[in-house]
Amino acid sequence: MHRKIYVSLLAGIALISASSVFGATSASAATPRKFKEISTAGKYSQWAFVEKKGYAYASPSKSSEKVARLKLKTFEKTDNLVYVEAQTTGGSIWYRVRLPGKVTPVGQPASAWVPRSALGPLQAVRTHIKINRESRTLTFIKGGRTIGTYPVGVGRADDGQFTPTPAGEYYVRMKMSGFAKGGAYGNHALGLSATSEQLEKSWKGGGFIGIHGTNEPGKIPGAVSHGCVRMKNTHMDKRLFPKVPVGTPVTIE
Amino acid sequence: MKRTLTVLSLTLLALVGSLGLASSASAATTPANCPAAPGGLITGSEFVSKGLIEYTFTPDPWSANMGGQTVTVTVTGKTQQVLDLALLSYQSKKPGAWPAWPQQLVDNKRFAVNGCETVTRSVAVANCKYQVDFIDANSVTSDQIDSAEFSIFPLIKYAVGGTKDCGDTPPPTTTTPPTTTTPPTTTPTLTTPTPLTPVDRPVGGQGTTTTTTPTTSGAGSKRACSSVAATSYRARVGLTSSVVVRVKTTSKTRPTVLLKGAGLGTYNRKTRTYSGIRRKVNSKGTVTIKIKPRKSGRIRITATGCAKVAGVSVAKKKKTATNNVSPTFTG
Repeated sequence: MHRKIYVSLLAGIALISASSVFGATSASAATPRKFKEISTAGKYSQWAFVEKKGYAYASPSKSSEKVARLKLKTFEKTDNLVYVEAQTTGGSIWYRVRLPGKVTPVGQPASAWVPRSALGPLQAVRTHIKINRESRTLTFIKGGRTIGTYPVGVGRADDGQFTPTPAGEYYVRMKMSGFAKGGAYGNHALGLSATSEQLEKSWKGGGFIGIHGTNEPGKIPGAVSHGCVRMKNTHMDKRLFPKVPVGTPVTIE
Repeated sequence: MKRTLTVLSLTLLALVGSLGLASSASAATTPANCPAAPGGLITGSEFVSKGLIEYTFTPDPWSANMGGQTVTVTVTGKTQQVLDLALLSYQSKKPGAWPAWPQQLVDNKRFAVNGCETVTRSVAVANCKYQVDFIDANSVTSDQIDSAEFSIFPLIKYAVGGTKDCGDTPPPTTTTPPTTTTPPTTTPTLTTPTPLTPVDRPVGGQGTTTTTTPTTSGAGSKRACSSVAATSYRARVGLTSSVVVRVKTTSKTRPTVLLKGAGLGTYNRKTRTYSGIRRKVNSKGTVTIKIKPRKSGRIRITATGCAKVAGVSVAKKKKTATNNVSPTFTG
């Protein structure tokens, strides 16, 4: 009889201690995880293909809020990719990424986290594109060195039409060429992860913007587009398009 | 007194022996007929191709059905090079897949070929799972021979066979100590005597030098290595990935890993093949190699001195560019 009481007492103590341990675990899971920045635009930035459908989360935990869906393909049927900014340290690896269609304010990090298992191996680029909407210029940087600055046309922001080029931190998602001669996109285009806030719901494909050539070179530089960045075909075809790999970070100021 | 006599008689015997040997050895070489040895580093696998030796063997060809027989090698030196060779016979130590290690030495004939002489040696082959090796023994120690753990570099010829497990039974014949006598030779007339090399001399003597250049050989030749394993994270055409290769080996020399396939390495226009990537493992037996495959398929990973093969699959290229597709950008 005495023995039974002793055993039940022990079991009770074990239960209490176990619950306290689990409590501590859940509390520790809530603490923010440490991470390190792994990309510096223009010097060494990283990107990765989306290899698995899933979600991007608000913090590096599957129990956190789902921010966006990860798709395998873009609207143009190219393979989807994300720009990788940071990586968690210790434990399972999560990446903080820029997602297509999400605006990341200039100079601020993107807040979406994805598990490593959702992405392919990280790929490095040393290029960076900076677009200044005021001066209407595009600066191409490689390895921290400015390669060239070119005049561009940006989105209109007047009373007649308000479709400004969205400011923020983006990246090159795809490269396109082989359009019909004399078309509005010129000969080549770089698809960006940025979307026009005004057109994302009404425009086919989600209102993504790009950097492309033009059939109206006389309007460059100027505020002439629906949000896209237009370049002279000579600049686009020879100076930018062949030298810009996918995953290149793009800053629109 | 008895002891002194014994010592004296032994000395006399040695003198007579050495004289006899010297004469037979001197009979072996003629500088006119026996050219000087070529320079450079030559391993056992290159002895025939570089013209150092010619050899015949019985049974011919060596096969997987030599169990219980006697294997004989007749070697003729083609240069003034003094070569330290060995004919070795092993049997399996444990039941299971064959060839496997450790192996048990059945018979061992280590011998020298002094210049352009001809030497014949035979070993008994176990009547169960066996391996017979004919090797350049210059840089192979007795311990390595006993344990069957030497790299593939010294290998001249080998054969693996037998289907029956050897079990715990001892080998059919005991190890024959290396002899210091030169067998009858069919040699040209002698004029100049050449020095004799002790047959079971220690490692690092004269003769050929092993190189670190990896060679490809059959599975039966690979020794001292128990596993090759490779891990890679989603290798894909056109993308940079890391492959971590781990090689478990008891060899003192660090093995070189070769990654071949999927368009790795430089392209040779003449042969229309890719060279692959070679890297040496670190002291822990691992090496991390960055790859950027040009083709999808499988990368075959081998290590020098290792029969095991690892692989990494390479997925097809992802699409990042389109042609003749009109963009849906806002424009």
